[in-house]
Amino acid sequence: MFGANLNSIDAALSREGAWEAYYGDKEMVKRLRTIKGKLDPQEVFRIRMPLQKDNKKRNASFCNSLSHGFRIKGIVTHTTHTLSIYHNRIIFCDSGKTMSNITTEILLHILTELKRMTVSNNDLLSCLRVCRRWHEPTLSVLYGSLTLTNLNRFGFLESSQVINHGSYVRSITVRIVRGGTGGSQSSQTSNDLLDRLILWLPSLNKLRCLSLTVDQYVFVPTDSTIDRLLKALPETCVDLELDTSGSGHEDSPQANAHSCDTVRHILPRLRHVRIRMPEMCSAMFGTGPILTGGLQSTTFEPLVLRNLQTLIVNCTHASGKQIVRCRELEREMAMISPFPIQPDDADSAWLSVTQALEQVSNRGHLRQNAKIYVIAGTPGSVHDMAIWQTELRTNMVAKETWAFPIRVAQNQWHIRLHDKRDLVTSLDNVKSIVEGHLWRNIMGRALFSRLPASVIMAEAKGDSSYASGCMELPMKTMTLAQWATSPLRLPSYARNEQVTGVRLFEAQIRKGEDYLSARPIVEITPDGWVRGWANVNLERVEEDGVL
Amino acid sequence: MSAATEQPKQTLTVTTNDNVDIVVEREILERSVLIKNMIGDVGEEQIDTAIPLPNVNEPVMKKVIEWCEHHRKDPPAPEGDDSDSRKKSTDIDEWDQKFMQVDQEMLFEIILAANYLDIKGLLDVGCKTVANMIKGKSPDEIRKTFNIQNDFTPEEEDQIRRENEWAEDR
Repeated sequence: MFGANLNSIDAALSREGAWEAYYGDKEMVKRLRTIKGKLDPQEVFRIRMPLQKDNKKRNASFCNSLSHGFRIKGIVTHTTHTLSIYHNRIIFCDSGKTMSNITTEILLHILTELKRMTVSNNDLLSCLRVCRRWHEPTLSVLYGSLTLTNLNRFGFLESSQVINHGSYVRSITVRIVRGGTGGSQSSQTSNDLLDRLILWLPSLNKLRCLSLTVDQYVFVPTDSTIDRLLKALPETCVDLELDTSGSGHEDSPQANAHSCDTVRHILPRLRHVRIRMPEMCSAMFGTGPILTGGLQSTTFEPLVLRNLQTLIVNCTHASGKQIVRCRELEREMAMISPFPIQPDDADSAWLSVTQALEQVSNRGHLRQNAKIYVIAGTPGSVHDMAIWQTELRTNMVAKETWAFPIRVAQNQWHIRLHDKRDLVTSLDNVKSIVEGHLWRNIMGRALFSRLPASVIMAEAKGDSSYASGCMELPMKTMTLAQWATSPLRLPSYARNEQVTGVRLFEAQIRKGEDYLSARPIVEITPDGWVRGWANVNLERVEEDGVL
Repeated sequence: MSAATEQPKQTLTVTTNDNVDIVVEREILERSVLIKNMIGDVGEEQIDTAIPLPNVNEPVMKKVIEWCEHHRKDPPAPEGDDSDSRKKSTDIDEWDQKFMQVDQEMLFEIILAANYLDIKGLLDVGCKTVANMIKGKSPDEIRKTFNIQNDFTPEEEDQIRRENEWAEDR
């Protein structure tokens, strides 16, 4: 392949057959120096050298040591095994015409494209068995992002070989979902899955992201399970979603562990975090007394979170109920109401968490553009349709709360946004919008996996990320106009706005003194109009003032 | 005019490994990050000399230039842009599909040239084309397609299948 370009020096050196270079090979450096004097700038010659996969730094320093006196610039990123020098510069060469000639790097690229174009694993499973050369690259693509559920557990964490593939795993999504056997057995299965995961986690030395989510009414992991899980998390893991409050409050026996303490220990190293646990409190974000509604503490020592990019603390159960503050002591149990109705009830997690995060934010040292969101919600009322179920996203850095009015109508959820649009979608999507859409669903088989938004957006742009081959599952929403194809599908709020010609409510931004206010959004009633039964429909006041 | 001579040179010459000189518009050739860096490195005054491409022969280089010419107006990937407008798509556009209708030897030559010359868009299209050829095939069909020797024993192959059964879609 080089025939025409081989010059006499190259040919002579090639004949010596001594062109296998090794890292730090002083002999090679000496030879190159001798050549340099004789080399015509336009002449090309090549040497073979063992470059290391995935070790650009070392390759670069290897080339530098070899090329002593030659210039190298911006090219030393390939993992091919032959290089040539042109104009006193090293350039890389490789040659080949069939699949067998392509580099492992290109094979990985092809397999990643394959992963991207299909939601099924079956094609990658075929590739695993093609030949030895394909086996390892395929493993790294197949195991790069894993989704485990209580349904597909069997045969997975039980296979010792699979356990050995841990070093390929970059992100794990664990989803405890309804289905299968159900009942107490499902609880047993879920505990089993988590126990095996906890044993496996410490060996995942390339893990970057863990997402554990529990569907509503399935299972509640105990504090000690969460505690062991977080302690088993390898240091490399910097993105964490922990959503374990699926079944609402349950009076399970409390172990000695306090999950908030464990969260606090690992939080300083984390980058993207989303958290929702059956009970939460200020202990996640600082040491000292647990902050409550009534008590202003001066001895609370907030964390410094230098690595944090996004943090969501969701203080509302999937069921819509507010999450309670952790019970610190046995005697407190009687004093805490099991279900605070409003975020600002004295026993709510929201009060404790917002107070703690306000101190974290005041303490400073946060990254520029760090986002810290606390989520809460107030229920609407079926007896008074002028009151909206209101979801609250409090930005603890900017110290403002965005209030979103949401409502279910004809089995679809409606949300009014701050740009004045109305969207119609599923409850999960509404909740994700309220959270700022900072974690995204990833296309997969029956069950999607989860990744931080910034990671999947970097991947979509083609930047390097730990999520290679992952594709976002786009969120499906409709505008109200797209949804209400016939007048019959128009929800009452839109009908009222149509007949009165007035916008009756808006999504709100609460700032200043008002920023931690948890009141619901209430519709106005324009002059000249009155509300009918349950405040559903607006009717014009008749001239004599009587309906 | 002296002003004209100071302008950067608009065409460049490359010498392929079968010793053919090809003159190409500079803008087109600069889609190759390798060549772009090389020019920046060597300096304007030296680029009169032909750039040797010891890894690419004339027919392959002509194909590469054809692709670069068609995609010369493609916007570069935006930096730090949060918009979803440039989502990585799994589809290959129609022109690229036709472009890639070549024999397998040429396909791999193009991929290797794109990798060597560091032309990301072309490498992506090439890899997608190969991935499409793999899609839906059994291991044996994949081996036949690409003329790959099976170096697993039947026992080994069976073991791999059983180990990873959990990930199968049923």
